[in-house]
Amino acid sequence: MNLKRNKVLEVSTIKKNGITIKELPFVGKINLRGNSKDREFMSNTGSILDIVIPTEPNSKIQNTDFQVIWLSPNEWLVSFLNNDHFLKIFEELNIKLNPEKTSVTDISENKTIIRIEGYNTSELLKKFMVIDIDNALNSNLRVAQTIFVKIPILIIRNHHDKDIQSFDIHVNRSHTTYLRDLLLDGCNQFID
Amino acid sequence: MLLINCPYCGEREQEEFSCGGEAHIERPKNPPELNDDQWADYLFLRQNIKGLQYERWNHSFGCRQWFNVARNTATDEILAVYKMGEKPPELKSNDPVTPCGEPAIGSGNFSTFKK
Repeated sequence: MNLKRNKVLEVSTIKKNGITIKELPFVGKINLRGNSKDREFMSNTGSILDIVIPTEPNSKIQNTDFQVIWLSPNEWLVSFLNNDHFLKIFEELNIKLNPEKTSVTDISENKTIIRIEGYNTSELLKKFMVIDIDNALNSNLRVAQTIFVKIPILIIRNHHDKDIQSFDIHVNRSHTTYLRDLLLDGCNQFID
Repeated sequence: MLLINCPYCGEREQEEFSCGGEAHIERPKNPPELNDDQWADYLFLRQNIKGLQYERWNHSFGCRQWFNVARNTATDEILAVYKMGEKPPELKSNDPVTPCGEPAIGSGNFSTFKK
């Protein structure tokens, strides 16, 4: 049975005062759990993903197809930039990893991604977050799990350009409109 | 607001954490051998120290890991943070001196002294 997949936001791209808020729907995501000190687990994931999963806290490693994000010492998020490889990698992880010591879960529908881009993006985020963004997200390899007002988010720095800041926010689907509305309200300060 | 140094994620605001109460309380090895009073002691009785207390904390909005914190409950000063399974460090806290000679147990409640 094919289930219909829906975006959360009716209008997926909104521009206001030089800041773009965009939903990236239907991104394949895998939650991977295992022991980073287990050599078999690390070598198997390395051979399937073709990259060594990050063990440094709050970091990510990326190739052209997906990024592997550190969530905790025994948990990672594989977020696909190219969904064509999702099923193949999901099946391989399920087959090759020891099911007694690891878990591989498809969490694609659990959260959606909101991308915010613009000159004042970090200033905008500072209105709502207690984390020190400049310090915690000081390079494109840094991520942070934190709270946005009251809601749990995963934020990833993703600057494509030197001047234009860009962040991807992984947020629960049910919190997405709340987050969008707050961001839009916050944009009022910045004049286009 | 407290700044807590998560052993995994680094320094974050208290808002991201939740406190799990007193640390290093060992579960009795053979619960059926305990009487009701002993079991209630294990479940409910806590030291409620005014001063240096070892506590469990969880980085609930971050890496979701449990760890231990040595905190002065009178001043909110965090003296040490260490991972689960590690031995608690031997510390001395600067307990505030009260003019009325308040006891070390919180709120002057003598009933919380262990007999």
